[in-house]
Amino acid sequence: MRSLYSTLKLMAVGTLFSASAVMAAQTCSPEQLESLEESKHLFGPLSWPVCKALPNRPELTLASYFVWTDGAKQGERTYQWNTVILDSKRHKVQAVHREFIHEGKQAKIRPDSIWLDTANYALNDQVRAFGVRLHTGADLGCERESRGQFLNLFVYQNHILTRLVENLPTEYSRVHEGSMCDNSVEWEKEIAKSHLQILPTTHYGFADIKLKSKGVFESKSDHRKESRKGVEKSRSHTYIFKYNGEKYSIDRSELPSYRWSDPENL
Amino acid sequence: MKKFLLMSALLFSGSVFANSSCSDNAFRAWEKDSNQFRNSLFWTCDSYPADDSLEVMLYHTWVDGKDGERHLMLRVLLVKTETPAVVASGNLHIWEGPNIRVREGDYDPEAFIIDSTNYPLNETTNAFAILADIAGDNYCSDIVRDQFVTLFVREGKALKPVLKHLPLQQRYVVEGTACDRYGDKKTLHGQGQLSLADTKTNGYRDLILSTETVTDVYDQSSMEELSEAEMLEEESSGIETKIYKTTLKFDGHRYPVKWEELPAKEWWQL
Repeated sequence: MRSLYSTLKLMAVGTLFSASAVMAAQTCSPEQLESLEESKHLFGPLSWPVCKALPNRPELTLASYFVWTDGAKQGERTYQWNTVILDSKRHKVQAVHREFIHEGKQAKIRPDSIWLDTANYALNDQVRAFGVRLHTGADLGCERESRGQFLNLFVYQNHILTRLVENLPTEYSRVHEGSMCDNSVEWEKEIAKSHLQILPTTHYGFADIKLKSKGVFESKSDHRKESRKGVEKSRSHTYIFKYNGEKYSIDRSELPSYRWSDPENL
Repeated sequence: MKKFLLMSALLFSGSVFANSSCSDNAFRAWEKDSNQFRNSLFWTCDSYPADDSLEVMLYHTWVDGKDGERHLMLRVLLVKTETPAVVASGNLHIWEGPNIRVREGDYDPEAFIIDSTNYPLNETTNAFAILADIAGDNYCSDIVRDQFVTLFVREGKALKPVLKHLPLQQRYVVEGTACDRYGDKKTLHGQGQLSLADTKTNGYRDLILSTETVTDVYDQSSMEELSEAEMLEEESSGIETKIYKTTLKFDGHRYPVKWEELPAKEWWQL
């Protein structure tokens, strides 16, 4: 058991699945939809519900969906985002986590916004977390920076659903030079993706988690590339965050989008 | 067939929903059925469109919640007209919120109405409709939905909703602010009708939601210099009418209702 857990702990938990395969594997049955409708406690239909049995506890099903609650125009709406644990056999609701998401410059709800990430986030020998990733980041557009694929980690213990990691961005885009708005202007941007690694060290009984990010540079002008001879086309960043007895405490100023903001550090 | 389609169209006017009282048998059935709840309020009845030996009865019970956030369960019964027997029943849950409010005062219009039209979804399955007029106080909302249709079919002793809370009426403030009475504003007012199509999907006929939309544009600056008569003329010239059509297909369980695509995808792209 010990050796197995050690192996699991060191296993990188990445984003290895294609979006289409993920979406196909998280369809809700009619019976599950019936139960989810009663779980929302709001008037109105479910928007883009998804369901998936937990691999280590198949008697439980993880589900998540939105309910449009306010606002009219696309990009200005408010949705309630619900995450639910269902009994897989009778589809009875066991626990619900609710949060409101207001669309705006930084957030946009899409049909494929929810990805139920049931990779092996083993926090200790007994407790395994599961993820709900929200693809709700706004497109880069004319902004200099955008973040997306927000990871939420939950545990279900003693009939309580608890969120331990809140909206951790795992994708970044940053324009270092120029602008993406004007095709005639030269630009250089960096696109970064992050994945989690569960570490063998623990705090308050739960494993520390390393966030590893790799940024890849893209530029429009070949001339600009030549002028930066010797500069790497990609770079890495790591950040370790720890459980504080209540949740994983994340210093957002330590995340790569901020750390990498100064192109002079290249 | 065209004549049949016309007959099947939902025309939600007051005359279609003339209130009819419940029979003594329906009342006795309600007495027995409602004993399982702590409270039960309001009942209305109408004939079951597919079989006149049966009658549809509605009543509701408040499950929990404080004023404005109450949880209501609507009981829908199919009752024999000759004896006080419930042959089938179903529930519909409604949660109040900022835009949803169930009125139940003596002088309020009825919140729930039974449609007297039959909806034959195939050769053996008939549906009937319940209409819910439950939009709340929404003068300042950029989007208002009301006249929610739910279609039930009978499956043995169960009444199963195959279409849930489809809004027939929508108002959408595209430009300007809903609250600002005299500011520049562009508003869409949509009134929908539901009808049966000839085509079928997964065994049930497709539904067509046809929404007549009036686009109302108010430009304050162009009004300032005008006389009252010119103003009226200008207001009427700023109105456009367009019909949006959306087909709803049965997925084997429901006719999915997606607010983001109703009354039509193009509606939201204006």
